Amino acid sequence: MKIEAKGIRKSFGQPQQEVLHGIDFIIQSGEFIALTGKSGSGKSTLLYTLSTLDKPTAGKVFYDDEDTSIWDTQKVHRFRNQKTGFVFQFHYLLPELNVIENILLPAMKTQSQETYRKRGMELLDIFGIADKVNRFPGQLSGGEQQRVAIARALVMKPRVLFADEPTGNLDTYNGDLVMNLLKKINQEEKTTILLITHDPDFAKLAQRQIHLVDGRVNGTAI
Amino acid sequence: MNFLAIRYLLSKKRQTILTLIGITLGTAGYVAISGIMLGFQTYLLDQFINSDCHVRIQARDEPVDEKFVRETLFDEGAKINWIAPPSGRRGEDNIENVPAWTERLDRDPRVEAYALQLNYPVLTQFAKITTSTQLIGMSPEDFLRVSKIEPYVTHGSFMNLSKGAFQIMVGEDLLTKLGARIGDSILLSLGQKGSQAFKIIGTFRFGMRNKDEGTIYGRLADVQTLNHSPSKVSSIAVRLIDTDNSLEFAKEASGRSKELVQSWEQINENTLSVFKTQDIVRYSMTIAILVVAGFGIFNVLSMTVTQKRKEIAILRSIGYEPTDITGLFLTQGTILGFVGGALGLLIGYLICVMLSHIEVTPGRALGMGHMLISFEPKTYFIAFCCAFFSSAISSFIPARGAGKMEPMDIMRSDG
Repeated sequence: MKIEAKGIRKSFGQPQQEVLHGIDFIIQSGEFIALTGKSGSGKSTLLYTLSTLDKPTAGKVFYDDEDTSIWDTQKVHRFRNQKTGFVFQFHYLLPELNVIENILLPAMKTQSQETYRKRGMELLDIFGIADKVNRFPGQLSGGEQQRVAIARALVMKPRVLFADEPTGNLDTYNGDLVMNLLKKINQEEKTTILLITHDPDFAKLAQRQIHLVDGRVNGTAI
Repeated sequence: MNFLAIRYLLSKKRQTILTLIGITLGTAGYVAISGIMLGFQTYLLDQFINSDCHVRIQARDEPVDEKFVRETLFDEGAKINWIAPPSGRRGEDNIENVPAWTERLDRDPRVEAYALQLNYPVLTQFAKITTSTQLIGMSPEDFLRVSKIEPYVTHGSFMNLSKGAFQIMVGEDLLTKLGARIGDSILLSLGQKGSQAFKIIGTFRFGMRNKDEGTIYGRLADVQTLNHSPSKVSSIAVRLIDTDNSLEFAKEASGRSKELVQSWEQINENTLSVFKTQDIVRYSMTIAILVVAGFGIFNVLSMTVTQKRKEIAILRSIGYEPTDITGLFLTQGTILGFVGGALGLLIGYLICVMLSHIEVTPGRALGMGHMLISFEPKTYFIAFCCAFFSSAISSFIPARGAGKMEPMDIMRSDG
């Protein structure tokens, strides 16, 4: 899925402080992009604005040339459910649900959990935690929890995956594991991935880096 | 989302159980208290309606005072100087035109039956014991059609009164008080008008001491004879086909006649107002309990919503809508209300069953000496609705708050 940002501006607070000062770029379908920059450079704000979770103060986001600003809320929710996946720094798994139930949470929105159960199991298999399917999040290690969170983000076969420092809380081993999984998904399923990372090594795994400095794109590197 | 709502509740067992206990106790309390109070009320109402009559027609108590004499004897505006202002009462307390009344009652389609009565106080004497009682003269055939008194008869039968002269049915307590037995004759005296021996042929027990100790039923003709007043009638007891028409019937008849016509509601006005007070107490208690339970739910859910902010954010980011989130928390509240209400009904019912087995003074009440408890379905319906809707309403506020949360606000505020 092609993502296009046109003149994105975002302001917060009283008095209004502009965090993003007009961002323009195009991400082609199937690209793996690393969004880099210092803390406070506006990476997360940009990611959430692109993902429809947040609205830009000015400018527009296009998905496959469709203007998201004119979508009604129903369409936005359907889009989030069917076309996008989110991975956060923290896993945010629901402690009351076991691994497979957590993974199928997006499918439960449309009562289609049975349709996606097989896919969920496959993902667990690929991620090497198929034996933990009935465990609860509290019974998993940090790396395993994050892998479950990624499986949850991918279960609906989204066209775009947004990842906000998914390795931030992980040790090197698990960090590498997660990055390799993302790379694999990008290559095998042609999922467009937008990844925020502080780690230059992980950023290098991406096809392209978009570097933000003080709310402006400061060059892209491949 | 119901599935998730149930998981949330199960994951916080202690909190859930404590909240449930609140709702359950409130509901059970209402059911039990209503059972006791309504049982008592039903019992009394049954006595008012069935052991007596729906409407009673009797001579109006008319005082003879200055106003009465002026209006009756003098022209309007006449100047009167009293040496001593008149004071007194009309001597007779009988119904003046009985045939007019019976004709009217015969014609009225609402009337099921009526019985002519002559009531007056007598002195009752057996051996050396004397006590005062109310002697009620009536025709047994008519009387039994008006008053459903048979269930209260403990010995003999009212119908036997017409099989001979000077026979009476007396309250059980009176029998005990006099130390007499069935078959004994007791002397009823009416001051200067003389006295007459009456044979006791049966007993009854209403469960109300003043009636059981102070009432004697005899045949109308015998009572009239004792009083030396043949054909005198002091009141007419009327039974209507539909009890609910009593008040209307009484008001209508009273307005057009010299006699005082009162429905059972008017006669027992004081007791009925006690019922109203009881009802108010019953409802206030329940409202208090359910408000407490409602606040319990409100607190628990508000806390849960705060604790689950991040999860709300993730649910929203994977496409769940505000209404889904509201539903998630509202469902928890309504489940608590439903389960708590249902458990409350069950426990309340069991308490009522237990109470209905408690023995009270034998014969003091209907139901073979057991406590009378009401099992009216309406009580259970009201109790459940209160539990369910108070839970739903108190969970709605936190639930709506949760639905209004925007995922980005949560992420930003939580870093």
